[in-house]
Amino acid sequence: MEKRYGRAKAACYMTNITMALVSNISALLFVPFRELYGISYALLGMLVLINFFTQLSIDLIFSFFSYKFNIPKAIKFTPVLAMIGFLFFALWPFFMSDHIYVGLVIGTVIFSAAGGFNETLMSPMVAAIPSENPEREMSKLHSIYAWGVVGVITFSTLFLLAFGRENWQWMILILSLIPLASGVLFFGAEIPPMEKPEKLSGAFSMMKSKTLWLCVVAIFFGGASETAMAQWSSSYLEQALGISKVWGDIFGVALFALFLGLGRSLYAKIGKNIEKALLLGSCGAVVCYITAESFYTP
Amino acid sequence: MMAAGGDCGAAVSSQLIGVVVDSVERSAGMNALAQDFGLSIEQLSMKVGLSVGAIFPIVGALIFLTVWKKKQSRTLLGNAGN
Repeated sequence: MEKRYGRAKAACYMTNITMALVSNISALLFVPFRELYGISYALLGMLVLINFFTQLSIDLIFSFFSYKFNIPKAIKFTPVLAMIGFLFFALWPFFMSDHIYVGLVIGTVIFSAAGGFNETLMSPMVAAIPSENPEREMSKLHSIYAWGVVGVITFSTLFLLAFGRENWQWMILILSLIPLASGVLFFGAEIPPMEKPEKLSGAFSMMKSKTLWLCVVAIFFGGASETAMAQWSSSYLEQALGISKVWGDIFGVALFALFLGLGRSLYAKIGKNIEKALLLGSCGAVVCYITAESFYTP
Repeated sequence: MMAAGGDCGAAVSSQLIGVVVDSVERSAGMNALAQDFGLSIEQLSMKVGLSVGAIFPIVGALIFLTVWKKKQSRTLLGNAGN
């Protein structure tokens, strides 16, 4: 049974690597965009806002109206959408050099929509594939994202070092091969049957749960803590600490992703007492933030 | 819904840091402060931006502390009941 869905599972893994690209590529280009096009940090931060706001919108649409979608088609469409977004992002400056930011926004909206599809569809799909150890499969899917981040950061850093920041568009075009591969894998893959609510009331009734809202608030602060560091550490290390981009990205941003993956994998294997783990984790994050901002290089 | 919570946090925090970094760079007072500390304005603005970002794990820790304490007290009450 597992073999039957092997291609679909591989496509899910590849799509999660695509999501590593979706969530991190703008942040890795903050300093190049500022230097090449003079875009302000507020507008660069806005790209991240647009990215996650788009993902959020798709998450909400799927949370409430998943019964209206053709799920297998939506799954197969996800990497295609990501690739279209990356192509917009990379190619727009070639044609509209006076309005580069507009192209970055359009590209970001499109590939972030793919990110939203991924968030809501890939985990349920892997969960729907019959397996001897479903938890391990889920943990594998999530840790692949972290390894994907490490790969994307390492590749992009080395590419920009070797070919120069002005060639960032070629880097995006090469990285677009990842969603292309994912799309090819999905093409012809058998999608397992997935459960979805028959109507809207199921989703609304869940909203009365206090526990759900507590989880949403906790994840809000968790997501904010993780992303603020993940998105800004590259610029911070380069601008505030004067560490070169190559070392900052590899030993800062990539190492961050590496430990993110290790943390997820470890908790999946040996984790217990989630309240204590969350408290210790958030205290650890506070210590890390204070350490990072108080570090001084003349 | 939970994924939406994470995305919302991610969107807000990143944009907030960007706005803070730009505001600090534009502020004459912060420029003077940077000189006093022997930092460039880019260094100071990034540091202030990241300091603002630290608010999120601090509030998160406070929430998790409350949840953990509630669970502890429930466990103690449960044990006392037995």
